[in-house]
Amino acid sequence: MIKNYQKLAIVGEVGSGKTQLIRTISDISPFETDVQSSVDIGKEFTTVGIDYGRLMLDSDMALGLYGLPGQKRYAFLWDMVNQGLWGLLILVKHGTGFNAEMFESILGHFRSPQSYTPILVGISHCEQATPQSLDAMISAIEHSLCSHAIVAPIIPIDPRDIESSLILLELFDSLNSASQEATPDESV
Amino acid sequence: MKRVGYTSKLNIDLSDTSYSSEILKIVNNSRKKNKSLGITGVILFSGVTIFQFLEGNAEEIAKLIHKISRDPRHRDFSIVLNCKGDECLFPDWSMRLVSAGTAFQKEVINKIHQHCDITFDLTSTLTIKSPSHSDYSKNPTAERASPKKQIPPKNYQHTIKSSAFQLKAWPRSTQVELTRDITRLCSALSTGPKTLDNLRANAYFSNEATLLKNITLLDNLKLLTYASQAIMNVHTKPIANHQNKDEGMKSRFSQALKRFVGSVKMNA
Ligand SMILES: Nc1nc2c(ncn2[C@@H]2O[C@H](COP(=O)(O)OP(=O)(O)OP(=O)(O)O)[C@@H](O)[C@H]2O)c(=O)[nH]1
Ligand SMILES: Cc1cc2nc3c(=O)[nH]c(=O)nc-3n(C[C@H](O)[C@H](O)[C@H](O)COP(=O)(O)O)c2cc1C
Ligand SMILES: [Mg+2]
Repeated sequence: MIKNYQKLAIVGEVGSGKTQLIRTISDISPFETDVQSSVDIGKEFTTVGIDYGRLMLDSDMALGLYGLPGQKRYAFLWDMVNQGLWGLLILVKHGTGFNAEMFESILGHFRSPQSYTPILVGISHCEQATPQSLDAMISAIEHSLCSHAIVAPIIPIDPRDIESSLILLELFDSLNSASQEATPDESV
Repeated sequence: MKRVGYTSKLNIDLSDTSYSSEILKIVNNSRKKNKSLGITGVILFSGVTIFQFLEGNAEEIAKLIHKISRDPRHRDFSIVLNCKGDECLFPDWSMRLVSAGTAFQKEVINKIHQHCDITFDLTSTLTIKSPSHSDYSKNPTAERASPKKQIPPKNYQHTIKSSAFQLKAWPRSTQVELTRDITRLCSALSTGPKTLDNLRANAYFSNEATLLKNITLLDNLKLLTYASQAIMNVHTKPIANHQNKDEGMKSRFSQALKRFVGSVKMNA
């Protein structure tokens, strides 16, 4: 029985590495996945177009991984997982031009003043990128974040790489710890 | 068609005779560059206060805004407008200089008001007092941002010790390695303004010297805003996620995750 379950939403454009990342993270799980329920839960989501995987952290603790397409017309899928998220990872693919409109519609949908969800932006397909082109892409992303008053880390990631995936989990852990410490009535 | 507007304050001494030539230099250079990028817009000056409105291709605008926001010739940069439109509002002006207090300025502002769904209060731009050089000394952060004056470390420490600050943007991986310390510091500073005491209270930072070093690093990269200028962020300050009633559950989850990451790294 899983008693402690957190959810990570991974949203991104076609080919940005959602499926790959979910596979990489699920595969390093040290605990036996409860095959029966995983398949059941998985089926429920895959039939509607959500990638599903999970990382077992203990016999009763797991991180659910939900891969969601980035186009706004799939917002109904976003709503299926957008409740008490542990984190939102937005994957953008380097080299195809930054789609600011898609990116900002994701930001607008997932982050409101009422719901604080830790956000992280991962740039995939960038192992061949020059520092200049990476910088230009980060600038565009920073601008979109800034215009939504969101401060979030933007990191290059390789969804095929275990270490890269671990860094991502550590960052989300750090963002979550910080948000728990932030008290709403903190006066300046 | 993307439309973006921001306000900022010029780091130009108003008593300086080169004041207007500096402004003209900025505007003339902008005109040339904007023309080649297909960007148009207006820039309003009132003393040291600026409101600039830019419109054009989204990607080009994003790149330019990023460049402008890091220009050391001004400070207190804050985006106040960001929307889309079907047509150019100022198709003929690659960057038109508009002076404060004129009927023309009213016209320009009204036009922007009509076409952009803006929720910010433009009256501050409309009713700015006449320029006064004491502007500088009144603003405690002006010195910090001014490229002309190098602040000795002692003064600087005084600033971080006496005010709350927060993160404007995360450092880029191309600038700084995201060590565990930097990651924790940035995480803490991205949830709202913090004082040095707030940070110390979080037991994370065992080493005061490292903490100060990292704050200095972030400040040198111009990634910190001080609470007095964090007006934009006051309204949008994230509210901690209290939906999850069981905080203990989250902290057990965090511990399990750390153990897990540690064990995978060890086996690698
Ligand atoms: N070289 C390289 N390949 C990557 C990277 N990330 C993902 N890929 C590969 O790109 C391909 C597409 O990745 P997927 O994970 O299927 O992408 P997706 O986001 O699930 O795409 P859709 O399901 O079509 O929306 C796969 O072959 C991945 O292995 C990366 O950072 N570098
Ligand atoms: C208040 C202000 C407004 C500016 N507006 C523009 C502008 O509209 N277009 C532009 O190209 N540069 C503008 N700049 C200058 C940019 O910050 C930057 O210096 C310039 O684009 C140099 O580009 P380069 O590094 O490609 O030479 C502005 C600078 C300031 C201080
Ligand atoms: Mg896929």
